[in-house]
Amino acid sequence: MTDLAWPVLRQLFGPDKTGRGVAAASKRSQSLLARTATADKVVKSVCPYCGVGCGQSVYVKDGEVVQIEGDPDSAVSRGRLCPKGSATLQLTTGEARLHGVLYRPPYSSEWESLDLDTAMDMIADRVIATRRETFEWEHEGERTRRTMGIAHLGGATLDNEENYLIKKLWTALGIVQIENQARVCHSSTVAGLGTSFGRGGATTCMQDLQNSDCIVVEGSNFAEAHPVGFQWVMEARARGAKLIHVDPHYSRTSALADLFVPIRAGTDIAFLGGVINFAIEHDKWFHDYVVRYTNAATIIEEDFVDTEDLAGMFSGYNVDERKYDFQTWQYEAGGMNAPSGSRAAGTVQHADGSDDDAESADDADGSGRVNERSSDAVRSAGRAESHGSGGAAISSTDPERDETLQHPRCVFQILRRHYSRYTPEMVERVCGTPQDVFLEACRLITDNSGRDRTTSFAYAVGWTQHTVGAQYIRAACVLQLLLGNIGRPGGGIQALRGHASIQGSSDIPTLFNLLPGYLAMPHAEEHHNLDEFVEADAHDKGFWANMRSYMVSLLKAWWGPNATVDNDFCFDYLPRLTGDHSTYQTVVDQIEGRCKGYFVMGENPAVGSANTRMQRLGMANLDWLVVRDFSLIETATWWKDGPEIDTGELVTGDIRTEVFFMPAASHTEKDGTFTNTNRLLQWHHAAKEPDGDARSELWFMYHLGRRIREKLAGSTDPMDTPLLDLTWDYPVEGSHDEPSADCVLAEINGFDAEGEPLSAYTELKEDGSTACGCWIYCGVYADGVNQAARREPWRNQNWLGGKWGWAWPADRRILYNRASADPDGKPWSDRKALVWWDQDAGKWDGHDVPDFVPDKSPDYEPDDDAEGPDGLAGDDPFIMQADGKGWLYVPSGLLDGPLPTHYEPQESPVDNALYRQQSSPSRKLTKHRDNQFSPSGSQPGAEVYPYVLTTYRLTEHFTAGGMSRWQPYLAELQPELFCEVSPELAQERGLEHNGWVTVISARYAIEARVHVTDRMSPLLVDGKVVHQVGMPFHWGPNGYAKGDAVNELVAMAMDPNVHIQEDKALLVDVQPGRRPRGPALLELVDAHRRRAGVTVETGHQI
Amino acid sequence: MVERRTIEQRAVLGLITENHTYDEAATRLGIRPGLAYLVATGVPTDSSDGLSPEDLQRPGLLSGAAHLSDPRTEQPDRSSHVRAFLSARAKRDPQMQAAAKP
Repeated sequence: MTDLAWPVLRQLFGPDKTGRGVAAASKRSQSLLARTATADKVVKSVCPYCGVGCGQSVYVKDGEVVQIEGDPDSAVSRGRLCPKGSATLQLTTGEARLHGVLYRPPYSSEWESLDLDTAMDMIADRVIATRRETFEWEHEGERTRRTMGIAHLGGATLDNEENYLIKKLWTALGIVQIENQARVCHSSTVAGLGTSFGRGGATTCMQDLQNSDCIVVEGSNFAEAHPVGFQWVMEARARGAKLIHVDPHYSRTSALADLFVPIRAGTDIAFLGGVINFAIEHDKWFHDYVVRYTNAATIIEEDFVDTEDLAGMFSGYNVDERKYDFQTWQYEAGGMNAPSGSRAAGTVQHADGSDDDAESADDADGSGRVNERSSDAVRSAGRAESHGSGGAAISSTDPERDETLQHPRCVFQILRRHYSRYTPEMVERVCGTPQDVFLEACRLITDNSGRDRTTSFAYAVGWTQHTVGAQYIRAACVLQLLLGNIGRPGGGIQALRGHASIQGSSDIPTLFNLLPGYLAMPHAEEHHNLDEFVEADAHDKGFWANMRSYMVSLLKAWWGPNATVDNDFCFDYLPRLTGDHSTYQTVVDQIEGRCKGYFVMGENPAVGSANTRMQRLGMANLDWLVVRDFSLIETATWWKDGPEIDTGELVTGDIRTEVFFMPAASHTEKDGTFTNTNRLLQWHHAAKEPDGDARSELWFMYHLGRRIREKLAGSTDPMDTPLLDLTWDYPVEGSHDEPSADCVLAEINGFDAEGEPLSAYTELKEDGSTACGCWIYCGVYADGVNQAARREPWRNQNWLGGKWGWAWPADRRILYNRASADPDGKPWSDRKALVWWDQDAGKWDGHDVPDFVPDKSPDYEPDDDAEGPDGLAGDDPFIMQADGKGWLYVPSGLLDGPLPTHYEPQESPVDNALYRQQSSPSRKLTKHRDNQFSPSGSQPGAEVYPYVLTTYRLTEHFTAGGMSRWQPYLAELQPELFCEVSPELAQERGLEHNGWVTVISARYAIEARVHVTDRMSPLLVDGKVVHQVGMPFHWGPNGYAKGDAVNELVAMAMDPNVHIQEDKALLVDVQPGRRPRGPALLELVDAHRRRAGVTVETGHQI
Repeated sequence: MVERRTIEQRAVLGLITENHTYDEAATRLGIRPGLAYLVATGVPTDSSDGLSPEDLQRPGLLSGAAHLSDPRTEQPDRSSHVRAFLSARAKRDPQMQAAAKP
């Protein structure tokens, strides 16, 4: 071949006349080879960003990562990566990563370098000293065995094995304030799904969306926030499915939808209630499914009074005490446990901001019925989240049922009355959704539900982050049960998770209120011993009846030979809760000086949590702070360059907080599992060891624990016994002595007395003969094989990808799939077959692992005295529920009502059109001078904050920016914070496209670039024009892409069940121009508050 | 200068239909296995093109082909530590041993 430099000559004179091949290649390009071609090996991994869990192939050459690409075999992602996933090489190998320890001494203005060994020793000393100083054996006369002086935040970006060691070590030390991003993202999901179905995870997997006939995306911008997962929505569309997007903000999801439904932020329960009403009134509900598989037929106590008759409150509300007594919510002749199984508790605390650590609990009456006695401390302990894998308890008495559904007090009739005023007209008045659009959505949803067709729902934090977040989720559960869409192909509810392992950090919880597998953290007032603990929570029927086995096996995993029958398997070693110890309460405790030491790992609360100013003020009052991350995020540097330094509120030289920055290892530098939004555990292999002093959290926790144990060795102080008795013997490997993540996962999986890995949670025993670190993960190491590492290409198996990774529970991909068959065990239709009863074989069979006792026939009827799994019938598909039913009505388990009810957000531009009650009477508010609220609706001063702000995620950034604002590719793609406003609002306020806007809430003021767009349209709400503004929340002052943090504006107003904050609907003012600098910024905020008459009491009325 | 020659699809597919693997076919044709796969199927080994159901019926298509162009893949699904670790844990626990006895 002639060496021709000019491409046209090469084409004319070479063999490639058409110019489609070699003619287009220069000498230079011919000499190049792809990094993938020259690599030495490829290591299989998982994307560390959102919860989709895309497969990655990590290419390694000469011991260094040289390229990261999508894994084409992945059953989840099929080779695709979004912009963030595609930038992973930059995340893991880029210059923004630090590899050395930094130390900021008290009152210092600069960082100092510190060697890793010295830093670890210093941190160990501080943990020991602070723990000694703050250890609390008792609280108000009850044994607590804990420290409230140390707190932890972070886990959703970490591996399950890391979360496990975090929870295990901190608990042994008596630390209870352990939290992670799951609290502020999806805790309400766990409570909503868990109380409805018995488990708190997504009921389906993303791949199954392709089988949907209609998909409703609401509370999510699926296409942009989870773009690779969205391919399954597009698969469904290609097959003819209808896509509906309900959202305040028109986005790429909307653009791809058949129907875009505009809605006012904070009104989704009114919308969903309207669809429920439509389904009932137009007889579109699935009769046979509803009667047999839900609690529609169950009769409720005579004294129950609905919101329709009490102006928006349920019966049992005590105005003076601002609490619900939910005795009247119960099943007739049955009786349920108090929320989350407390058979002793019966009322709820409310929005008065009072101290949670209040009254003492009373004893249970022993009947299993809820009584009127109460404990605020028990109630505020986030117990609703413990229904993540086991619904609320029920007494053994069978509740009354009327399967004709005609009894006026049966659930179905109560439901019908409850939503009877949620008419299209009312939906338009409340939501601002035009009636014709609403009705079209109703028709699409109901026409695509039934025996032959299924509709699915996908949501994200647009639903969860509200003062009624759990009830948002519940509303979808009610609708999907009514339509018969749970447990069936193309049906279900997909809770789109936003972090690589935020599902995992709930399952193996770095959360204050949970132990692994959604076992509750014991409470000082209720759980004095193991018997009381089990009695309070366990069911009589279903698999939650075996809860004692799960708990004992956990205690054996943690305390091994020291856990015996004689000492209650070390149950007393567990520290006790006495109230709300969630991350927002921890911030208040820091500000008030009760919490002195703080670990933050892979989370950035100085940008990502609500009321970020309070987050920083809390950290400014610590003795010491340990931040583990890739780069110098705002949580590590607030003392040096945070907003309060500029306003003069803080002076660096006056801040005593000692700060350690510990560089973290990336996902390519450690073994471990992420649990994605499908409940799917996927193992990622280490491609190399981390450089410098960067280390994994697994390394940090293991070696910190080892050092503390060595320093305390020989201690006879009973405070130290749980720590010294802890099983902490993991083999280490490699040049850094990295603990074996395989061994940690094997402990999580569980083993028997022979040291054999267990295969299923049904093998767990309550006598101490088995150990298991997380019962719902039992089976992930079955047969000594890391099942999470399975990677059978997706083309070799069915759409569920059953040989790709391992899903909890028991590798089931679609939960409650017994409901895909009729009561006789036959699929409701051939088109929607999933599992079925094989009469000849005497077992359940199908495309998925049956979520049912494998050989329990459809006609099985339990004896009257049958208990445990045997207590449920052959047509009870919800095996984690005490009655085997899907709960349309939740008589127990939630603090704010048995049925979802529309309340206005804490801050709203309008009065509640449905009820006299404005906001949820159960909402939880932090009363603090730095956390004030604007007036709402027709209250004087509300006009000062006239606009609704909602926040959202962009494709190119990741939550609080710690993994994206430092990446040049991503920073360049989305360089600057912006605020989307409608042309009408821009005109009203004089805002110019690409100009600046100052956004002011009752907490703070920030600035952003103006984006004038029709994507945010004004809505007509009950005769009033309501403008909404939208802002992405990823920015902060550090990194390449800098900007104000939107969460400065957000208040600590929370759902009482799980303490999640209301991010998605709040009130602001907008003004053209940049915000003031220095003290003038605070003066601007104060001036607005004065004009509106805001005080610390504003918004705290019932 | 690299020698350029044309490998036709039918040449590769012919070898594949004779039950040769892509590695074998590539060796015989003097090209890389990943290129042989691309020539035969029109699909890159990373499956990065969106394929319709009809495309998936193309002759020569594999359920997973990344191994044809990738270097060796490391994805062990067991660890040498685990059995010993669990066994030692169990042996050190007399209560567990006693409880397991029938």
